[in-house]
Amino acid sequence: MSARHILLVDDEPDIREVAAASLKAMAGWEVTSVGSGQEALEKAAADPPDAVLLDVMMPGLDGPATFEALRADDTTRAIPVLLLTAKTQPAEIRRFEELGVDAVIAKPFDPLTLHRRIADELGWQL
Amino acid sequence: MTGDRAHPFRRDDLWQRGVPFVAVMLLPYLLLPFHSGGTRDTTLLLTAAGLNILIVIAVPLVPWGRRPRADASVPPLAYLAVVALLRQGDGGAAAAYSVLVFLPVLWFALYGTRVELFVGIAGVALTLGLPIVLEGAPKYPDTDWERMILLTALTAFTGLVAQGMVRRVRERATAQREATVELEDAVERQRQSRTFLRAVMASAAEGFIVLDPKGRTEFVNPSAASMLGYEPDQLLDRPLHAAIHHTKPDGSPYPAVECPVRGSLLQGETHEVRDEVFWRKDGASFPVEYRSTPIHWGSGPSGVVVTFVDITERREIERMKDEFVSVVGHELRTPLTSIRGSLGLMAGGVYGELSEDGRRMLEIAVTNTDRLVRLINEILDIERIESGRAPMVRRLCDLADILREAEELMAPTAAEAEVELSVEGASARLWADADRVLQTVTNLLSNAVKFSQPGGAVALHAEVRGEEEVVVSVTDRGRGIPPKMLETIFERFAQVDASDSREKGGTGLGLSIARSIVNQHGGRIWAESEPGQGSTFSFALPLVGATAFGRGRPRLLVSDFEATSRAHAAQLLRRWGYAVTEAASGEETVRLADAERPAVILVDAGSGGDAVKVVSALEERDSTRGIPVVIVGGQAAGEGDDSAQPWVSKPLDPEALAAALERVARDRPTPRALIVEDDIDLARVLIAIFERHGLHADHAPSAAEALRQLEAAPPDLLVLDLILPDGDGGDVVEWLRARDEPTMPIVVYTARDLDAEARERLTLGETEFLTKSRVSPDEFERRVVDVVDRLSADRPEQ
Repeated sequence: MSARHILLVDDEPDIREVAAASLKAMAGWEVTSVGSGQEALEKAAADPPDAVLLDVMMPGLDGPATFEALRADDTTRAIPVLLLTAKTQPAEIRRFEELGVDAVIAKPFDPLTLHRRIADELGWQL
Repeated sequence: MTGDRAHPFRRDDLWQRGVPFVAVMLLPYLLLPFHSGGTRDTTLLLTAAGLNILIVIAVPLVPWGRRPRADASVPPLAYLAVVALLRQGDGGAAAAYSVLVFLPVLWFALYGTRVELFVGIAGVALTLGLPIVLEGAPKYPDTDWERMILLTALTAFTGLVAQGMVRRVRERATAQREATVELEDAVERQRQSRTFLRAVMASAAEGFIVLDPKGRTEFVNPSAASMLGYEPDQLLDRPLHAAIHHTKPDGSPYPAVECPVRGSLLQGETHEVRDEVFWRKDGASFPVEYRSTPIHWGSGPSGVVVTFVDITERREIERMKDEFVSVVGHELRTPLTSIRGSLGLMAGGVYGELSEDGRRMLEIAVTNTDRLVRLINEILDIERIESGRAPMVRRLCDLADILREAEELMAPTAAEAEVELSVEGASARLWADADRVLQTVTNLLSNAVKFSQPGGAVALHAEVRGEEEVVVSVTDRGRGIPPKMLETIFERFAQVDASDSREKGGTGLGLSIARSIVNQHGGRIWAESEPGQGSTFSFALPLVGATAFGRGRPRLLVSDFEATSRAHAAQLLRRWGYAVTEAASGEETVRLADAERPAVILVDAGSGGDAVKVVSALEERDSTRGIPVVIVGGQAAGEGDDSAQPWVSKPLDPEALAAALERVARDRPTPRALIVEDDIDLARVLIAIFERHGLHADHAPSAAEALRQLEAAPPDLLVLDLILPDGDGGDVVEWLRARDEPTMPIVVYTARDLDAEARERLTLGETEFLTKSRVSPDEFERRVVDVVDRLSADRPEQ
């Protein structure tokens, strides 16, 4: 089975680095990191990943808006999207879930199990 | 007083008082030419006239005020001399001048003292008597004595009576003057106290509105007027609700009958309201917090004071605080995400093995980062819950599911701590926020595990107590809690031992959050402990009647001759919120079904063929024919066939039973209302309302027709107008009462207000009164639907 390809979108470089390191080290997945929603849309269209890990709060195009844009485009519509958020109030999480994303993952995440969480949510075999 | 009456010739109104006297004094001289009698002594007459003129001139000119009071008696007495001279000069004793003695006596009577009056009377006697003594007959014959005595007596009498009357009039006038002064004082004091009150009201930042008994504004203070955008007098004498309270915050109309202020007016209740808006003159609304308090003044009708504050600013601050808390939470979590992530990767050995000490240090860093994250989460959580801004999302849920989930969540933690976790759940239907209840249970479990030694045990136990509540307990065999800590343990950051938070990784907020959650569900939470032996944390949540039949507590009849299985079924059904009656025999089943009209009857099939007899006995009776029956156990004829008698196998499977009850509830015939109303248009409106809410409605335009329909087929709900063409709606109630059978709920819908006695007379079973004039059609609809919901489902336990 070829390595999964994850598109990681977060405006915090440190979090991008840690999350990418975690997924590469723990699952051996290939991770493309970008710092904005706009870049994410371009990358996703040019080279559709197996899943998008999307931060909610970003300047410019934020997580939900990026998600809407991904779903609006035929080439990216089918890509699973997981939201990554530091807003963890139950009401906030519910609101994000209602957007129709595949899962909402709260920050901080455990770097040793992040890959398992994603795989569980998307029904991937590890 | 003495100043006023110092002398009788005060200038102020002397003109008015003196003129009549002067006029009478003039008369004798004017009459002189018209009579010619006896001997006339011109000298005496001229002397009299001269003296008279002197008197008339002296009275206004002499400064009487500066002379002794007694001097003022001189002019009237001098006038007696004038009279004597006139008599002497013209006609003698026979002269008519004698009657002029009344003038000075009257003067003294009106303006003089009692003594002066007597002096005057004595003067009269002297004036009339002296000439007789001095001259005698023939000028003054003997009969003159008689005349003199009578005239003197008459003047004395007239003078005394006149003076008495004058005194009384004066006293009364004085008393009146005093009363007037007092009244003016009182009015002034009143005015001052009003001014004071108004000044106080005007200075208050709160709005004050006083309503009269009809709900019209009687007083509005400036703050109230300015918050509402009116001039104070623009709001006077207007119905307050219609002016400023007509619409709810969500934009829907606010019926006056729901207005809390009205409750204060009519029922004398005090209401404090937080989540409403008032409407300004310009059509904008603002959030208010108000209080309506009934007040009484005097013995008259009461009114209501509404005090309110504009809480726009407070709301804004709350919103900012909310946003701040959310942003802070986010901003704190973002760097923690990087820290936690990189530490985690290192501690996980992703970048090579570390020395034992190095890994230990990293573990400490990871543990404390996790603790910091929990602390942030819980601080945000408790802030939200306690401010009421994270409302509980309630729905029907089963406690058993929550406990199962809690067990699954906590099992790994318990295993890691080498603590045995045992769960003994109970099925209980709750109207609750399942996530929050789960949070509470896991919180208690996590505490219990934390404070247990390896090899210890933690028990989670749930038990339905009575029909009111379910109690969930978590028991550990840890070190226990000192008695004095049992109460305070639920306070924020309260820990038994200061080192706990460090050693156990707790935040000190968990129990406080648990208490907030339980309180918000209308429950209670407490701790019991035997130091050294362990602790039990328990919370109780109210059970809600939430059954297949909707809200309320429908009654089920469980028929089973076998006591144990009957009790088991009854207990299960009670937990689900049903009211349960148990019957141990076929006869009892039929009797109780007839008496209580349960929503469903559960008949045990194992009663040796009895079930068939029971079902057919129920079928034979009018009163029980329509009640659905669920057969429990035995070989059902139509197993698996949806159209046949509902059947569940035995031993009872709760899920199958719940499904059967739901099927019965779904299949039950549409409830039917009978509307007794002579106004055809109104009846049509009511029928439309009922049909919109899934009730079939029949119409009876008269009392006779109502009785006929009631006899033929009792409805599930009776809506009764009181005034009918052929009688009183009360007769219908009497007729039902006389039948002495369980009755359907009744809604009495009337144009007039009913007093307690009339209500008493009309009340039969569940009875609701609606007054037409007070209830808008929308409101009526809402209330009827409420009644239908409540009355049809909420039969109280008997």
